[in-house]
Amino acid sequence: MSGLSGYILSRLGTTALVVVGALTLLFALTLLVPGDPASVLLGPRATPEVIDDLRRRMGLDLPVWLRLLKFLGQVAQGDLGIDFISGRPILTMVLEVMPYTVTLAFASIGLAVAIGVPLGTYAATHPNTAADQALAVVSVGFIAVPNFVIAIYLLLIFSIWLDWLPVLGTGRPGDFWDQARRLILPAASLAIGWVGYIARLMRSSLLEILNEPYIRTNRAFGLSKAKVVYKYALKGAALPTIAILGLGIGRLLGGAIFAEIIFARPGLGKLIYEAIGTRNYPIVQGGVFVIVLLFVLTNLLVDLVYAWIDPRIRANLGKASS
Amino acid sequence: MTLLADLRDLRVALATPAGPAQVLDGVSLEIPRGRIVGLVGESGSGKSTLALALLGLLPASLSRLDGSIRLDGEELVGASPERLQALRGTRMAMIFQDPMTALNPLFTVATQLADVLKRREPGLSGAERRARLLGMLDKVGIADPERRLHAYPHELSGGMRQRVMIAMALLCRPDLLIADEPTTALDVTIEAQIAGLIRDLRRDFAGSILFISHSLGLVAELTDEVAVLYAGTLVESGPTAEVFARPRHPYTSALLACEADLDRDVREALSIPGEVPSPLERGTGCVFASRCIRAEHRCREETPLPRPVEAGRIAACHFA
Ligand SMILES: Nc1ncnc2c1ncn2[C@@H]1O[C@H](COP(=O)(O)OP(=O)(O)O)[C@@H](O)[C@H]1O
Ligand SMILES: [Mg+2]
Repeated sequence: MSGLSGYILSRLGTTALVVVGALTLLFALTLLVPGDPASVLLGPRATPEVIDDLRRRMGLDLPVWLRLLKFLGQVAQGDLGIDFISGRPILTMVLEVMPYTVTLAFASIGLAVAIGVPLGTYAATHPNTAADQALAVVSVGFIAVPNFVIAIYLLLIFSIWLDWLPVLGTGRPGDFWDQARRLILPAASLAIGWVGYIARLMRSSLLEILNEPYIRTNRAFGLSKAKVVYKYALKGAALPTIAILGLGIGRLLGGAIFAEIIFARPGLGKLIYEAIGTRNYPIVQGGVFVIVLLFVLTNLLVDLVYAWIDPRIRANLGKASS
Repeated sequence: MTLLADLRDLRVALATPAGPAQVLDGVSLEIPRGRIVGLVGESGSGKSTLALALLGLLPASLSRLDGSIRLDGEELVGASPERLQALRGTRMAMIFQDPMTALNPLFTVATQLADVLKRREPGLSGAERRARLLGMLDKVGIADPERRLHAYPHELSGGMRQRVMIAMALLCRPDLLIADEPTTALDVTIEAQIAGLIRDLRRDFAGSILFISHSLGLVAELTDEVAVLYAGTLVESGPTAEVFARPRHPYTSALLACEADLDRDVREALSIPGEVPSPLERGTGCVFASRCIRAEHRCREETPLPRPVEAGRIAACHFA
């Protein structure tokens, strides 16, 4: 067990490094983009005095290294700055919309796993049948079609023609079913590509495991097919898919933006997108920072799940840290 | 002496990337109840294929079985997959060559053994099962069974893993246990220990064993009868002591000459010149003719069929 806690500590260390690196890059971004943020924010009719005043209040008059240190120090205290347009703390603004994006990302991945894993398992246990070949074509199709095209078609079919699901928005606050119904289409539009991907990945990893000698042992002792596949083979076959999910959640947090725009949902993507339009860098920084943080934490979680599933990884951790 | 398993003219064709290969070409073999039958032959001669065919574990889509396999009178060639699965783990079971890969790395020894026992004796309580597992680990010579029971395979040595596999086989108490080169992947001292364990277990284990090995020394020590396989053909069979004392087939003689009291490293270096013909390129005549010191014109023209050469002994050689 000490191996595992040492491992968590060292992973937290690298996680912190990644986060500081990401913050520095985000800070550098504001230096590289042309145009002075203060004058852009105030518009073309602002007087030089007003612009200077805002520059001072935004700290834009200080040397770069000092601004970076101040920025890092503030973030470390949970202070992502103040939005100069609304005067509200950026952390509050980000936390307000974050649950929508996180829910959307996890609902999409959940949906993709719930559909992709059974499809891949079926394909692997019925290899080279007509169903397997049909699934292969469909999966590749799902992977190839861009998400936003799928989103628009889903909207057209289920909301407009069939009128089964609400079109836009996130639903009435506090009304769980209304919110869940409005989550279906955006989550599905993000999930479909992942369904194909997970189905293909599950199929190939499960087929590989089913050829392992230890599976032949199970069969030589007459264990039922269900026990062999669902208990003994699936656990190992799930590992590559779990690894991909870590990356997938990160991609979804970033990729949620178009779903948020098409389906008119609040969220991190939409917040960042609109802030870029107005060159409101503090919001861009805060939003992207939170996405990076979520991404890094998800991958930490994936690594821990990996170690939890595979005792050999746990054993190596023990050796590495002692 | 009643027969437990009776293989008649078994033919196995496997679909390979290079085309269909006749891996077993008419093998007949009898396994009497309660006896240990050895199966020997160079690698590639079809020993594992025979074992897998017996268990019904050859992939149906890639293999074609002809002939007959009777277990206790029941025909297994053409039996349904469900029937074969019902027989595995109850009437027959198999342990494999490489103990490093024969156990699932993601599950504890306890889990993997318990599932085999649950299948054999579904009525046991959790506590009874645990007691049986501990007793069995102790019996196969695993020290500190309490701790080992909850170990993962990677925490055990190769020898210990093979002991776990033997424990699995004994928990299952099959009528027919197939052991496919159970010591080949182990080093010499461990090989001797495992062989000793198998010998000791004869007292407790009432079933028959098909003991596959290319160590003739082990086969001589452990088995009652022996069958010699060459290029998918049974070339000789009979009581082990007689076959080894007076081989009737030149291939058996050659195998014995290679083995003759040499230790393992030398044994492997000093093999019969030439190679086992590939199952893709077998022509007419005796399969061993290309490597046989006694081969004559007739051997290349006329295939010698296995025939009784004396009481209880069969050989497939024109000169036997
Ligand atoms: N899955 C397979 N695909 C192609 N050829 C195979 C396969 N399994 C076995 N063979 C061929 O069948 C022959 C017998 O193999 P095997 O039964 O493993 O022999 P042994 O156990 O005596 O070493 C060999 O020539 C081998 O190349
Ligand atoms: Mg073999």
